[in-house]
Amino acid sequence: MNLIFPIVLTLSIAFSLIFNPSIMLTAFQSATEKAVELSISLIAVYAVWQGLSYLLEVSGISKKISKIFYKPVSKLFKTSSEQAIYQISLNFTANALGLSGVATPAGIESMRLLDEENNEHGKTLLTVIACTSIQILPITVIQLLAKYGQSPNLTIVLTLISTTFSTALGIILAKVFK
Amino acid sequence: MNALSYILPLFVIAILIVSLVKKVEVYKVFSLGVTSALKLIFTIFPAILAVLLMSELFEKSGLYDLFLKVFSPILKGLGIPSEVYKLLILKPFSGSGSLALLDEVYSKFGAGGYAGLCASCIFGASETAFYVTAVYYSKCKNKKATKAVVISLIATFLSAVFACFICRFFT
Repeated sequence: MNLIFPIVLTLSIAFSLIFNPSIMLTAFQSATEKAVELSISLIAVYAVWQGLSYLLEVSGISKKISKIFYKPVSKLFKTSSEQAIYQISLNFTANALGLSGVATPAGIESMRLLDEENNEHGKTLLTVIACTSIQILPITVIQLLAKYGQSPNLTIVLTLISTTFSTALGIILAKVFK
Repeated sequence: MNALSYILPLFVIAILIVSLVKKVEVYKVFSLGVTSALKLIFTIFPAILAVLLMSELFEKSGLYDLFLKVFSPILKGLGIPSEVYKLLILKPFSGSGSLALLDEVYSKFGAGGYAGLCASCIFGASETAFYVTAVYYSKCKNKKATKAVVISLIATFLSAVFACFICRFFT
């Protein structure tokens, strides 16, 4: 971000000078407004799920979940921290089910734990997996298709194939360029 | 959809019952979790703002149109239908923007046609990479995320090419 953020901003603002210099101020304003709106709606998405996530941990259910995922996750991410493995498993499961209210906080927590053990490879891998989307049912697409009266079955199968392809490719690339 | 609507409520009931059996102070712990969600928003707000600033300026400055012009010959060569170029380029930057474009592709070219199928696959097989990366790294001390972004973009791009190829056989 220390590189991407200034580059995209500089290029865009410089480019806007050629055609329409007034867009910078309106873009600042509207981006900030959107960020505030999104954050407020994210509170609504995260709040209840975070409450339940805390119960998962305190009640000890989390330990059982991380035991199931221990072997594959510790191998893939080269970590032995039980806490990190639990958060990563939670992130995967929630992402696959399309529950971003659980997935994103768990993802951020996993990243923090991997960062603490200086596991750069694990961080790259987790981000790549999240960016290539491992959702089983593309709920947003299904809802939009319903608006057009279109059956989602073919789309679901083809999307599942493409997303498996992109995630697998992402993992392979992350392993190759370690 | 149906199985999912049963699994989640059952899961929530299981959490609550196990917590009660183990004599967890359910309300107190729940409240702590809710507070942590509020704190989390403060932590990720700069990342959200930065990404939205980038996507807003990228779109409005005309840089996006330039990208579109430069890349369309390459995209055409790879067999990607011209109807989804915009979506493909905007997707890593903006979630709401690309959803609007998906809607546009459906309404203009049909939700069940070739372009519609390709658009659905491109939308469903990737996330807004810049946003996800910025938010995920927000609590990390070492924020060098270049490798993660580049790999994600390459993987989602190649999967889009692949998706447009397989969609041909189903239309």
